[in-house]
Amino acid sequence: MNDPREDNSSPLQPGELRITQSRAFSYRAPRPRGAAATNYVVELTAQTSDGTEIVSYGEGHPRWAQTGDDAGSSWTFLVEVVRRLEGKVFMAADREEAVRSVRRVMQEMSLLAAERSVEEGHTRPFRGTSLGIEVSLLDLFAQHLGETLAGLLGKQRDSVPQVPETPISAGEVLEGVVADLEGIGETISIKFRGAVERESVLPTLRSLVGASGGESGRTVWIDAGSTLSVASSEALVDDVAAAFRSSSHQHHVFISQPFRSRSVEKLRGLQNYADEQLKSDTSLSVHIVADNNAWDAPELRDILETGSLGAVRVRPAQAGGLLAAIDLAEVASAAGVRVCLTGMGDESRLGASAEHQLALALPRVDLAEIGATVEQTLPLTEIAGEQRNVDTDPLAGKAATSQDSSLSENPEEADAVDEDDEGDFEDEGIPYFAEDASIASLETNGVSGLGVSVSFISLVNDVEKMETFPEPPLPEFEGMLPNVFDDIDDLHPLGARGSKGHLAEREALALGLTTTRYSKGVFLASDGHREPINFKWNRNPLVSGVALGLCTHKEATRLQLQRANVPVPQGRTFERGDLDSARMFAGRIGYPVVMKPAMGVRGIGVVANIQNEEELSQAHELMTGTRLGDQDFIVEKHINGKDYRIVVVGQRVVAAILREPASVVGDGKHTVAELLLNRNSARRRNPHLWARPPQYNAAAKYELQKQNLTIDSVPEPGRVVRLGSTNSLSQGGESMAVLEEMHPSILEACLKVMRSVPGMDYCGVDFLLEDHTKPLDEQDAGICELNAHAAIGNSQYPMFGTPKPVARIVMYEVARRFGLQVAAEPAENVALRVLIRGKISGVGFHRWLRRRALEAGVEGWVRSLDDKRIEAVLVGPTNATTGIVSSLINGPRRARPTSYVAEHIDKPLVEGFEIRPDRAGFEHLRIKTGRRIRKVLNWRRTNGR
Amino acid sequence: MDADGTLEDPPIHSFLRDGFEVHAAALERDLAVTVLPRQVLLVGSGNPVLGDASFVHGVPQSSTVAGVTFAQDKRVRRALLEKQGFSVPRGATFSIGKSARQAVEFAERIGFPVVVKPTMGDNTIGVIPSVSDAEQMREAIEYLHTPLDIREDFTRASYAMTELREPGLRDGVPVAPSSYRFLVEREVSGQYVRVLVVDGTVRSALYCPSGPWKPESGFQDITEVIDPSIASTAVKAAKVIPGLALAAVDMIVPNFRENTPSKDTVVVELSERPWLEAQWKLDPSLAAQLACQILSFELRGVPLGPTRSKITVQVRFDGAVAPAAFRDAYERQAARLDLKTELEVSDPALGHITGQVTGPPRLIAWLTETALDDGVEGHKAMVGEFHPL
Repeated sequence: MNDPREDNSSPLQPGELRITQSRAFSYRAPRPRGAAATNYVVELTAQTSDGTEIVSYGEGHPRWAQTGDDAGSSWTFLVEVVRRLEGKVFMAADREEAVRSVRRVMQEMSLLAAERSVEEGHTRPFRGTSLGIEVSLLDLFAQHLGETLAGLLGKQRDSVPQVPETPISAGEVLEGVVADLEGIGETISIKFRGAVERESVLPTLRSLVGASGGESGRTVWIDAGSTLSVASSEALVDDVAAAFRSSSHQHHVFISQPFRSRSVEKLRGLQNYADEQLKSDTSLSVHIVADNNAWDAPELRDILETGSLGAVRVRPAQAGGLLAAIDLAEVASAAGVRVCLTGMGDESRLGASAEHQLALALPRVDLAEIGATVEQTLPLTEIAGEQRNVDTDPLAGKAATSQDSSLSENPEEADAVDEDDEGDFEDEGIPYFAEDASIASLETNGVSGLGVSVSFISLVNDVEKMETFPEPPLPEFEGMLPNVFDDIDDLHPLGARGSKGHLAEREALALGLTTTRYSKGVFLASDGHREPINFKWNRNPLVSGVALGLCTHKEATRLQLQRANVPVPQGRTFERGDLDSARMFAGRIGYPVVMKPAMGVRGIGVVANIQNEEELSQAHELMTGTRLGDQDFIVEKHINGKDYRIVVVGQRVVAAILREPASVVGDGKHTVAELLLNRNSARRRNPHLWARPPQYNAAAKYELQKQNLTIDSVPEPGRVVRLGSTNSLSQGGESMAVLEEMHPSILEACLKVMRSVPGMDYCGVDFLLEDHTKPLDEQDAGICELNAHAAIGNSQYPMFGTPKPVARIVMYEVARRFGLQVAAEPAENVALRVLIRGKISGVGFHRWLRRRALEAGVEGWVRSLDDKRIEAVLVGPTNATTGIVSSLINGPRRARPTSYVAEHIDKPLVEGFEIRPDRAGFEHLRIKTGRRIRKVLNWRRTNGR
Repeated sequence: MDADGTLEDPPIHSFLRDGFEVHAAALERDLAVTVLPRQVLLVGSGNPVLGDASFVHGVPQSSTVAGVTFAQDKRVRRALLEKQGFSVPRGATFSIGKSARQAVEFAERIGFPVVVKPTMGDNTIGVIPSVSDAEQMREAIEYLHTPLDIREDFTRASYAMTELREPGLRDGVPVAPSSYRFLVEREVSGQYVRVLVVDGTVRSALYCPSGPWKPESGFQDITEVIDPSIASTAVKAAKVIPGLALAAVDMIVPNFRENTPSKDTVVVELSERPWLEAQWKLDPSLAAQLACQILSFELRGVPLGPTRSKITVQVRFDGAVAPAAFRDAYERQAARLDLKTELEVSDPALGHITGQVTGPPRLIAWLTETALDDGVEGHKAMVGEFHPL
């Protein structure tokens, strides 16, 4: 991308524009069932020569092998391109120049894509990702020129026949029952799966013909979901012919990719069969639609060299952009091949609008299947010209979270759900399409560009990954910058909660132990001599069952600690209505106190900071009025302290973090919104917090209101703006490591805790303290909870302050306690042989592993031993290699591994990552490889090499 | 004690049996005890805060949280047993939502009858044995939709995994979460034997002709006659899960008197709890004896005094919600059991009750377990401390 000027200082010439900020983010398209698809959004901010600022968007739809985005890390590729765009100056004085500029960028990008592809010889790398970049540029130039996107692309028509939103499922309409079809439009869609349903297509079609009422012809779109054999496809054509024969109108029936096989010959055969059957019938044409055969113009040209096609699907995410889709349609049009424009499904209005406007500009289009489904559940976008509504709040009406830390969510407890057993079957998601009238009207309303933008609330709440250039300054806390953890990339692939089950195993492997894993949470480690040590999530062998039984009961914990003279907030449960005893008690322990229902939920009826008897009576009255008012209630000492988590292993305090509600610090330049986005970006680089971003929700809005601010305010430099009321890290709270400053008397109290609970050598102590640097007897302080299976991640990965290797300390302590032989020092590199078992064949396990390994810089090989066992050798840096090992219990999407064993081997001679032939499947593999070679040759030929 | 000298206790829920028996055994041997909620028991006075040993539901402190958690996960337990070469019934786990249909197909494939068990949670609880056809299988899965806490026999140990999943909803009625998992196992025919292993030694072996769920079928104590090969398999199986000081191993064998290779000994349950209720049903004194062995194991060298049939203990209750009402109810109950009490509310503000109780140790233990679990006449306290005088 050397062509456009890269000059941040010189003034812009008329017609030029400079990209001042570029940003990429990803989000998950929500689906009612099945795995969510990830989309990428590119946002460009540019300045024109007259100082106008333009913000443009484009949405990419990476769909793994379906769009060539399996070539490597598509996100990394996207970020690299977006980084390069920042600061670029483009000349776009007219349409031709603008389109030329975009084509040039796309050309360079496709070269870069080939370079960044980790799969050697990948012929169509990162097409779905590239689409988003292209659309954002086209949107930018179109807005710049005051054109609609369709106008910029060369508008050809005003409307396009759409495949309707709701398909009729075959068999739904019975012969003779035509009443329901009265209102049906001219274009009809029928979806069915499997040969059985095929039988019922004929009556459905007949009803449709009957219902047409003789006014006009119909366009029928039949999607058989690639389920038919050649014979049943021909039977389907017969049915169609039988239903429409001798109709007085002209009907078009499109049959989309009926076979599982992608053979062009089969499609041609079926088209010939249809043409033959219908040769005498001029009122009906049947078009067999090729899908996935030709992604772009050169590929279609190749196919057409050997014969004709009835129709072809054009998918911009496969072509690699709107312009490439136009090129493809051009080739089709010239050869008389019909064109069906199709989206990838799971798109937002950003994607749908681009495709809709493309449909108006294609050289030929017979049918379009486009729709935005994301907004049905996620308010991602705003339509230009519609009222922007910052107050749209999905959480409005939910109770604000309570300040009472005892009621905050306990992330350690989130260990009950096991989704990783055998015998589970996932439904394949079926993309569906919804017409969006507002999208269709955008172009006709003359709104320039794409006409769709991203709502700020979504940007904060729904974004998974985000990068902005120029990179914004890092958020600070008391002069500290956020920690940078170099293992984030090794942990990321394990998923949102993945590191929780992994950290201990990483240390076990680093110390030379053999590990066996049975689920995301369960593994054992062994030195081959002693009894193995076992872990489930954060439950480890340093804690007795008795200790856990005690710690999960708050009153029991309080009383046991009191017996040991450890400082706890004094408290007691009272019978309902027994205000007299409560008054006596409060008088004894001293005000202020807190009153709450004994079996509280979500802070209902909780009154904190009660200062005297009168307030106590008022609080009691208030609580009695709530729906929990008929219970026993608790009165306890109110401690005006901050919330600390102190981790003790054996007789040693190993980490301490201070937890505070989410906040941002003003700089006098940025809005709260920008500061929050920036803060979330930093948080996304934290291995423990990346999947737990703070939200802009009712609580945040309420907090801002209290401070007389809105999301658009620009707070003065240094002003701390609170955005939440809960300290819970999973609710967006901040974490600061403070062990070094902690007063020895506090550490001593924590050690005393360990001597007060039976069989407790690992504990997360939740301490309320006014000031952690002061002695305990000079402040209000108390321990409010003990966590016998405290999460390691929150203390190992604090946002600010010196991190501590908690997992490593735990593993050393376990090894020491149980007498395991371990290495003196953790290894920096490992060579491991892993044996994986389960339902793992036929799901692309080898390719999945190879790609992971290549991305992580891990070398080795993989092969199948039989259809239930895979053997892999992984060699590389400990963090990267062990991260891959732990992810083997998940495998690729459809895999169901049940266990693996990872053991150390002498470092073998390996280079790169090889998929080795297995004994039984050798032939099979060679055929596959053969096809890859053919594909590569094909690509070289079509590219003139 | 009744006329023929056997123990006659007031009734106690089988879930509380283990904790109660160990508690009673400690009082009978003149040991101090501190009782905390959820059957946490601290025994002895060597350490004023911790005692000398501790238990939860009768599970000794040497059993780690990792150990008890593994034992409560039947999929992991099966995998570990299989890996070590033990026989387990053919089986697989499914969820009541997504893979219920596959479960029925699986049962048809491996052949009826099958046993259906919740994948996670207390062992031998919620087990549906002898499911004999697809229809019964569907009924069993339907039953598993019942929310856990309203199931008739449901129990959850203090150390069990917490259920945080949102309940499912069906026709507006709350049901178990759709990801709730269960295990389908082939029902093996043969003799059902339960072996209690403590610290690597067989302490008891029971023959349960129709399984441990049906005591009316007549349990037999076979500790002395079980073939050593089977006893040895039990001891080895108990070691499969690291961190279990104690395990009740349920196995199915062709004939417990005959030499049986490990491959013909099918392990069907491996519990972290002793489940002394089974032995108690056969002979209450057997349960008491075993509880004493468990106690003595965890006390490691702390000498046990002679068994006493009557004791006087100094008592202190803490955290009584309504102290005076609690004291009154406790004294009324004690009188019914022929216990002598002298109790006073020593600090009404803090909810302290102190005094003395005299009587048979088992009855004192029974009353305390009840008071901390459900309350006496509905009145509860949080902690009870008992020091022999």
